[in-house]
Amino acid sequence: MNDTKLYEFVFGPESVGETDEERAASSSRLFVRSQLQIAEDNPKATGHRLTAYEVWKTFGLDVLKRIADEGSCPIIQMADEPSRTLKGRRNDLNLSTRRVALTAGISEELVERSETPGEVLQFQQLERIGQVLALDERSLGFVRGAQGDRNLGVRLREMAQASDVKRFSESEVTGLAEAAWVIARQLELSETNGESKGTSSQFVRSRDYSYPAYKRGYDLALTTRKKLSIADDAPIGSLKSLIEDTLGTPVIQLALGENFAGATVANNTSRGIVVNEKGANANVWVRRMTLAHEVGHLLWDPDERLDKLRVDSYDELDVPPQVMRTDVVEIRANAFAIAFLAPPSGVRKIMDNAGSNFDGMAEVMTKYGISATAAKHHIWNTARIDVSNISIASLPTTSDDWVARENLTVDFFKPQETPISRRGRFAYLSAKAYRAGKITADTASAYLKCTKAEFEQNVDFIFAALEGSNSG
Amino acid sequence: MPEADARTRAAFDEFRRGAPLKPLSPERVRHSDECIQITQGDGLEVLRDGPVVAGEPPPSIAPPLIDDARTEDIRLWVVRERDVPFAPERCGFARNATGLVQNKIKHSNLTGGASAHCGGEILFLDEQTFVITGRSGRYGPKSSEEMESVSKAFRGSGYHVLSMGWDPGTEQPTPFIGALPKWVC
Repeated sequence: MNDTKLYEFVFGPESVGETDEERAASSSRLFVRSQLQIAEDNPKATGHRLTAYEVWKTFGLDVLKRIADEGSCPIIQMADEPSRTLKGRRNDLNLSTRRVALTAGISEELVERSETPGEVLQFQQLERIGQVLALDERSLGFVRGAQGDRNLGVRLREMAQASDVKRFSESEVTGLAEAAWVIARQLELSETNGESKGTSSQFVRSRDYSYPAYKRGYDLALTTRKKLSIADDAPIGSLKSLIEDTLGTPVIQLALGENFAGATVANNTSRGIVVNEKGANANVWVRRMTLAHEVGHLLWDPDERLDKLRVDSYDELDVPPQVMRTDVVEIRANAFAIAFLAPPSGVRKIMDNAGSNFDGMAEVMTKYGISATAAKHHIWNTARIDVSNISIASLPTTSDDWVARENLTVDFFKPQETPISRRGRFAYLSAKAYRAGKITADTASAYLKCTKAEFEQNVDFIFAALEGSNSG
Repeated sequence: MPEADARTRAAFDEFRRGAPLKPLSPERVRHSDECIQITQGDGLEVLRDGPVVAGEPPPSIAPPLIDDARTEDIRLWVVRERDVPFAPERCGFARNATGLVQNKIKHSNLTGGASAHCGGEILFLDEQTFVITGRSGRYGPKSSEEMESVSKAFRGSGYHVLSMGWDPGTEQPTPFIGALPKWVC
């Protein structure tokens, strides 16, 4: 059989292209997947529908060939899968079956059954568990370990067992694990949709934390602004847009404990930022500082310093880098954040030209979008002007314009069942891949944690609501 | 080639009455080698009456999980008009044929490309016990009822039979690896 005949046999005569990927992307064939196998689609099957592109991407051409040949293809490579992977991963994360069940929205009995060799569940139930555990749910049973990042698992467990204020609860572990899953999948959806990869991969991580570390942070902020072609002393109008569109980095909103501000997460090679929707981040200027701090970790910290996960508390972010005494990684990131948002030379110019310290401080805040607390410290550190006697209550507050530019998600998202962590760019990219025929409604609805009907009813809304802010 | 024994013939005749012959779809055939009838010399056998007495209940032991290492022992079966032949997937013919994918025979090698009532895979655990699937892209069962019915015909031939059953997720017969088989009563 020559290549053309083979392609037509596997992908159908309507498929076009010279490569496997082109053929898969243009194939109109649909498949259905259970825990055990993939088959040609048929209306009675209760499994998860997949496009040819999805099957090709996860399982490869050989599986598609076998389906064309035999009508179906078993995908379980080892008799004790996927139960062994699921149980091992849950233990790595030190999570109870109850917690996994609660987060996945299924019964505890189903979680226990999923960990029993030979038990067969609906694949849709398995994929919910896989998402909670930050696994690649699509490869469950096919690849032992399902591409789970072992080191991230260990790190999350360590943080759940920590004895300090950064100790995670079970719900925070599952929240961050799920965020790690969204980060990995969002980057893949970006690629699937042919979006620009962003510039974050062009940054060579820096191991220079030499004394004084805050100066290293200032230097890196300046370098970053230059690399991103941000004009000298110019404000960053939308940090959210810069991170997601220019850097190509996922920003995931999550409800964490009140003391956590944000985190930088590495899931295998995918890095992303998590921002707590609770606490002081409700103020857009505080949230900008949190995001800028995480950008400092994301772009510049080498793997051994990031250690898969850096979680930052509001308290830490409030400490001026010059005063911070302990962790050089945090000192550098704090300095990076403030200098990235408000370049010291720009702050000095404003203060030099201002009619009064009050006017200068107000202009620093409103021009650069930083909070009064951050501005006070920064003005002292960069211009040596003491503004500590200025009453915060009399200073400007965030404008609607700032709020609109930094909105991470739409206020009234549909489907309502979709968790906040998946409502932003992730939802847009899911809808876009669905419209392009790259993923099925089954996949998109699993991604958005809603029913297929809810997704299909709201796909236009998702597009209309998010396209403007995500098409860059 | 010896004909099927009486119990086997009777059990499968009953099955055949509810399961019409399925012609081989030409779309499934990728090479003419897939339709060459293999012989006894290639490893072809026909199902004979087994030692299990009619009405004897299945063993009380729990069904085993099939080890992935056992896939080398898989044989293919089909229900033809008069008998139920089976042969190892990797029989001598498969090793020598140039047109067979991965050097495995196809179910159509058990029929010479003709029609059959049903087809699947079989794995012998001992002389009187085997596990079956209905996995055959060419002649496999089209419903859970047909899968159950053909499983009972195997049991009626005088064997303890474990069936992998039916996978509602794909509406296909369940494969050997990853699921627990069930005793056929």
